[in-house]
Amino acid sequence: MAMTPSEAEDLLHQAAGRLRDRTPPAWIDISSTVHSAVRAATRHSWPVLADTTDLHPRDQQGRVYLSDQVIKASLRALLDHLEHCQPRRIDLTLDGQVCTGVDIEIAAAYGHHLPSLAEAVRTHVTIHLSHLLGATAPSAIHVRVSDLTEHPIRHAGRTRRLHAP
Amino acid sequence: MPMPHLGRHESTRAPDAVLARSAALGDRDAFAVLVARHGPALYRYAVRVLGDHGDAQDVVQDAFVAAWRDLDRYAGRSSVRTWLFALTAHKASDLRRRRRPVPVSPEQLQRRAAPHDAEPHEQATHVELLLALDEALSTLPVRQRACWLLIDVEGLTRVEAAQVLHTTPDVVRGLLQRARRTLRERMQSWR
Repeated sequence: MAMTPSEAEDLLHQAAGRLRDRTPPAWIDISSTVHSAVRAATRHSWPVLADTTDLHPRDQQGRVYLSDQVIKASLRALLDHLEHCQPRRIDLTLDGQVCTGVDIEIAAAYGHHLPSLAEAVRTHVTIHLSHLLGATAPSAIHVRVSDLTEHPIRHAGRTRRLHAP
Repeated sequence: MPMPHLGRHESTRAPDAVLARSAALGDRDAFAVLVARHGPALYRYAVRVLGDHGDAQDVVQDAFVAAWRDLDRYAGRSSVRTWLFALTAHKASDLRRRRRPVPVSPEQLQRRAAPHDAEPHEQATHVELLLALDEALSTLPVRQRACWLLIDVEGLTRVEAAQVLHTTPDVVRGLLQRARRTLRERMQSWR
């Protein structure tokens, strides 16, 4: 006996649910391949000049460049380990191959004095960039608090106290 | 060496938007959580739109690689899940345009639906139901199929499905109505 339209609709609904609730078996087989492809993928990057003349004052021939992605990842690692803040966005301003500025957006834990927090972040970033880029490190470091979090910000590893070093 | 943004335990529970922001700043662990969280649904969608496991794998892989490369341009106008579906749909559409149409064989349909570890007695009805659904789905035009999968299986709204398929919510509504009607008719003859 054929189903009524209502029974067919119920069955269709049931089939959709079965499909949704089940991880496709083939995904289990291919997920490691997909993860590997993503791990191997690189992002478009731009070389940023690092001035190392203080390390090699007599050698004017060689130059060192860092990828802008490496600088961003390094700043993220720094900010991840500072108390009460979490990086949301990091943008570098480049003039050719020289970094002339950094814009940093952070989320801050509620209840802290935001100007002090932002200033401490700015100071840490300035020192970090001077270690990375030497004399070509930018002086224009802008910090914007774009979000407040109600709960304390937890970090993966050890945190560094957030006061100006 | 960059440290992970979020601890592994925290990452697995973090909302998509937080993971996407961390991944945009180079956190590969956070992105791996997004892959694990959304990969099964994207694959489920791709294999039924394309009708081929290998093509579906390529499309999902390309979509995730594109997402990793473009994350810093992801503006958050749609949810991360919708954005990933849009990338997958775009890659699937590109692939369909490039290849010659090949009819889906009954063997392919069976492989697509049958669970590898199914217990014959317990799963037989479920497998048959999914086989019947796959057969019915394969008769739908691809845009109707895509709408039904996105909305009735993956739970996207009409607006989100319209973003994924680069069309309007009204068009999606029409496609979905036609898809549901056809699928109901096909399923009536099951059993």
